[in-house]
Amino acid sequence: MKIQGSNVIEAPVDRVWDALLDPAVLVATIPGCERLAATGEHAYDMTVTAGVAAIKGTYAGTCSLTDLVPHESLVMTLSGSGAPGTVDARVEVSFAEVDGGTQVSYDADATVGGMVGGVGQRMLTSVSKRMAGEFFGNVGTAIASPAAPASAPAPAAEQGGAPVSTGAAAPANAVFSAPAKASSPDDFLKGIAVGAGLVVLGVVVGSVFGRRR
Amino acid sequence: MTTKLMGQGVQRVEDQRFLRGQGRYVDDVAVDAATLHAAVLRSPHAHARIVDIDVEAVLDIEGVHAVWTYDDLSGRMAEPLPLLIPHPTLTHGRTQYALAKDEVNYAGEAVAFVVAEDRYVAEDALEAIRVTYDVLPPVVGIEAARAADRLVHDDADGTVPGNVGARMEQSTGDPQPAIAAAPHRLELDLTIERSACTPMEGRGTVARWDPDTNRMQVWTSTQSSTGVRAVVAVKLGLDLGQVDVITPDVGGGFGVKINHPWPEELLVPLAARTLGRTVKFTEDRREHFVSSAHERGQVHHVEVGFDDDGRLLGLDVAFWHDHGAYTPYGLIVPIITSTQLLGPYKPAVYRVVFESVYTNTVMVTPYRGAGRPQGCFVMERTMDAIAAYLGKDRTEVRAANFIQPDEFPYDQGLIFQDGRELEYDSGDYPASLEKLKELVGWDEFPAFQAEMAAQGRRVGIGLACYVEGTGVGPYEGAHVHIETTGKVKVATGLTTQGQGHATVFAQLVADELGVKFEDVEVVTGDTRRMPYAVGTFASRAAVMSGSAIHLAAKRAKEKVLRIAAEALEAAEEDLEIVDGVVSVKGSPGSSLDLGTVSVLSNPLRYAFDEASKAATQFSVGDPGKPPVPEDDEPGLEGRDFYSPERATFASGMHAVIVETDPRTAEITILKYAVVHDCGNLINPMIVEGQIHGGVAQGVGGALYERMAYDESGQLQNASFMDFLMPYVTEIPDGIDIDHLETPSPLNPLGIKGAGEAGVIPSAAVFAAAIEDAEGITISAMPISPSELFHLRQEHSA
Amino acid sequence: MSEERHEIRLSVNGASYELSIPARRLLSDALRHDLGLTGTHVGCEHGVCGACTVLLDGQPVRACLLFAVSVQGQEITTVEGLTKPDGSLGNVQQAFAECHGLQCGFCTPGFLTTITAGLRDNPTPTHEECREMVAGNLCRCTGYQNIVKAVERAAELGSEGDA
Repeated sequence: MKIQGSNVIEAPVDRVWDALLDPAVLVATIPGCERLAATGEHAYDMTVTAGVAAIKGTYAGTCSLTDLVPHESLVMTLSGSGAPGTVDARVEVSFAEVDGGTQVSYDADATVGGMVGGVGQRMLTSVSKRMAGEFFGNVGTAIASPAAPASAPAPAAEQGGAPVSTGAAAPANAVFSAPAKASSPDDFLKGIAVGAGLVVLGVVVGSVFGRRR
Repeated sequence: MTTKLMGQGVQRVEDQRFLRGQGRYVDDVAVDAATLHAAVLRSPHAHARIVDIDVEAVLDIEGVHAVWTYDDLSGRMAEPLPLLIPHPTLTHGRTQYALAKDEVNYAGEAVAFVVAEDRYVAEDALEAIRVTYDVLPPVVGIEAARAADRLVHDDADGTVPGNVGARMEQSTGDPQPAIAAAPHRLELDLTIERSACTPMEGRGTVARWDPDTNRMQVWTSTQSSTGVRAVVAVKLGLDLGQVDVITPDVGGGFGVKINHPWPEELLVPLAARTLGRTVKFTEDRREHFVSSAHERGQVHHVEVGFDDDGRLLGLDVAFWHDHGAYTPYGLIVPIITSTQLLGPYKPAVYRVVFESVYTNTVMVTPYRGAGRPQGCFVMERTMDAIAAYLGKDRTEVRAANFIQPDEFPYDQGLIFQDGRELEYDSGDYPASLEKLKELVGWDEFPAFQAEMAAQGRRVGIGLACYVEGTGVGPYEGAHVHIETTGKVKVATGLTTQGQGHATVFAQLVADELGVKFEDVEVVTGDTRRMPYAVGTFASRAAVMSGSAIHLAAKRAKEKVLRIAAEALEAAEEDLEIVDGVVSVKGSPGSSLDLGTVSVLSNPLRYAFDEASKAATQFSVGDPGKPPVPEDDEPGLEGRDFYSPERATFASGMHAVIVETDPRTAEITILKYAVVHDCGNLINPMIVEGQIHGGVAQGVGGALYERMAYDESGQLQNASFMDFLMPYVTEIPDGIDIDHLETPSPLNPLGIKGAGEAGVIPSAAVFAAAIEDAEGITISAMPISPSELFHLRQEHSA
Repeated sequence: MSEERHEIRLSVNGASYELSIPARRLLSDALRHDLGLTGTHVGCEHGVCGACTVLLDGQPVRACLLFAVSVQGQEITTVEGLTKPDGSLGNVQQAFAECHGLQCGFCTPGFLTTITAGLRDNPTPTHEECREMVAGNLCRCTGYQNIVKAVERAAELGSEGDA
């Protein structure tokens, strides 16, 4: 399944780049993300609660960022599984300076398996786009209002100021937890965000019963 | 001696559950909070290209489990639905995709499929889906189709030039020379409008995928369980053996449910497997109007040459059949029109040519009568026109053309809808006509008409004759099993939609086996019980399954007698079976009940109850022989099939006396008479019920029912408020019925089909009677009071 | 956004049921899917065919044209309630069996409830009145001849029973 799209974040490209590589930012901005654990440089295990319409649940996956060309592009690879489905995706992300901020464009190639694959391609695409939109909105907000809400282990905590220290990768094995959030009216829409930033695949996840958030 | 049940009006077993509200129709299956419900987004346009389908707004609706479009279908599911009955002349057949691919060709075509927690939520989701269409001008009506200024199909899947799906000709010679040379000639142009079956229960399908056994179970409101099973297996990539189709109680079919698979019949099982849940689809009434099937629309041109007695010397018929947007059922309907148009007559030379054309409307598949009403209308109007031309009595002209009783079997020289010769096996048309004239008071009518005229009232009488090929093949089968309790379980694979099969077939088994009617239980339409079957259509169930059941019961009886003879140490010829007990004739003390025979038929190692102890290894069996002989099987079962060489031809004649109001043009039925020959009757009460029902649908079709399409291809009367089906008030108060029975030589019980008969001559008979009352030629049906009013005005102008 | 549900209590065939349903749930759907009383059938959902007819405080109504939440506190009788407590058929049901007044059975529950109310109001109908009594219910199978006979037979059975 292929999904493309782009969003504009009102911030300069270097700030956007740094934000998208900061796990403390990610855990707070990825819709439904509950837990992000660094497993290596720009590699994470994550737990996300997400769903498409009636199909919601918790999903465990991994995400890694590679081919980093600072302020220009990166490739994100992610893979995850939840009770009724799996997702594997490779997303090419590019950054461009535009009037008013940074345009982040994504081109994803994804395979969705299991029951959630049965939701229908257009649903998956729609959720992905909505999730991407929500995610980028969150990132924009995180960059603009510096009280980074993430609670992080000892070495990492970002308090106030820029939420990211440029270039610093999260310490290995650091675990970030999402702050308690007021449930939003459409939290049933939280798709899985695929790792650092982009897209998509709103898909999946667990059966409604017993897994409803 | 017990009375035979054959020929008795036995009360129906089905009624016991129906009357208590315990029928199990498809929407009654899997009533459970865990069942998911489907809804279908249908095209609002008659002809359009799909540009985009946006489901974004569906995300805001809680409880939606899936939204599918064509892009979600793959493999066989992405191919068009099967063309069920191919024919060499159907050179440009087309069927729809399960979900529209790039184009929609009728308003109602399935575009997206939604599965949700319940139907309310699913319909909410439908409203939230935004489809962008590029609307194309549609082709509506036979005239527009023939003119072919625009084409229905002209796309990536190919072009259908001239909107002609097929052109077919059958003849017994070239009638033109005979017509030219005949003493008299006439030409007629006749039109029959579209109508539809509209059973009280619409379509529905429930499916459940069992991951423990890797099997798909489908419940669907169909007329062919085995047909659906085969297609589901193929389309879903399953082995036939992995699919079970169970036909629940069906609230009427009348033909529309013989077509399969509906898109939903595939999408629901696919969803059940994909989502791992039981999924149900039940259509609503509007959907039935715009996405099932219609029938009847044809335009005919007749040229006939005849002699002074009205005998047909040459008959040349050309007609155009509107088959809607797709042709899944092939050319069956127009082929039936072509062949059954001949009725009980033998024109010297006959030719029929038809073109089956596409329009951007709902597709056309059989509706009770399946093309015969149109053929009968054409032939009977022709007969009436000949009689009027010659100044002769309408019954005399017909009688002059009848195939005589001593001419059977009569080969009409054409190929019938089953691919076999159109050869009538038996009938007595002169006798039927005599009965009809007597029943309706034909000879007394002129005096009555004059008397009414003197009072300023207009009355008219009409008659119409038909022949109906029933019991078409290829076959049906039956399985009879006598259990150790003495209960008899019977299964046949075709289906039931209210015809009382469970009762009628139990009568046959009770008679053949000698068991009590109450001890026989019949199941129809369940592929688990009888996987070889064709379906219920063409008035074939009594003939086909009745015969198969009779034969299977016979086999079971043979085994009963063989085992009992040995056990009772008597000769088989000396045994009789009465009320489930086998005894030596004249020696009531020497007897065995069937349950015991059943026990004895299955040598056991393990007893499971008192009675079965008698069959265990230390109780019974000759150590010198194998417990089950080489050419035998354990158990008390009989299985057999009936596969005739050709159809068997029922016939009948109707007459009606109507009164038309001189001012309001309202049409009132004063008397309706039916003479009916369907060979031997199994249950006269049920046959009569079929006639009543057929006549009612005939009245509806003749006077009230039409599909009102506008020029944009929109069905304007897609509801019961505007599609006028008869209530009791539109039906004659009492129908006079007389029977003739010319048994069929083609099956052991001499049965012919009865299901469709009532509706076949209706359009013809009402047209004739109204014409007789008004003196205005009626050449189009239906005719409502307002249409009659306008005809009067045109006529007097 | 999930739909607001209303807690209501329905009285059907003398028994009380508690339901939690949205306001827009039709009575026909509530009976069939929430209560599992599938004897009431839905033929058109626009009030024309009569298959969904139930009795509301004894009067025939189209269950497809009512919201379940609107009939709280009223006594609903469905076809299931016409069967006698010992499981045998009531007069109207019995008459239909004797007269072959049904074929596919789908429209039948609506006729049975309608006629039950009709004969209660007019226990000795004329032939014409029998026809009128069922003039608001559609049947596609029987052609009505035997249904009218069944009404007459039911009236007969009713008067016999009153002896």
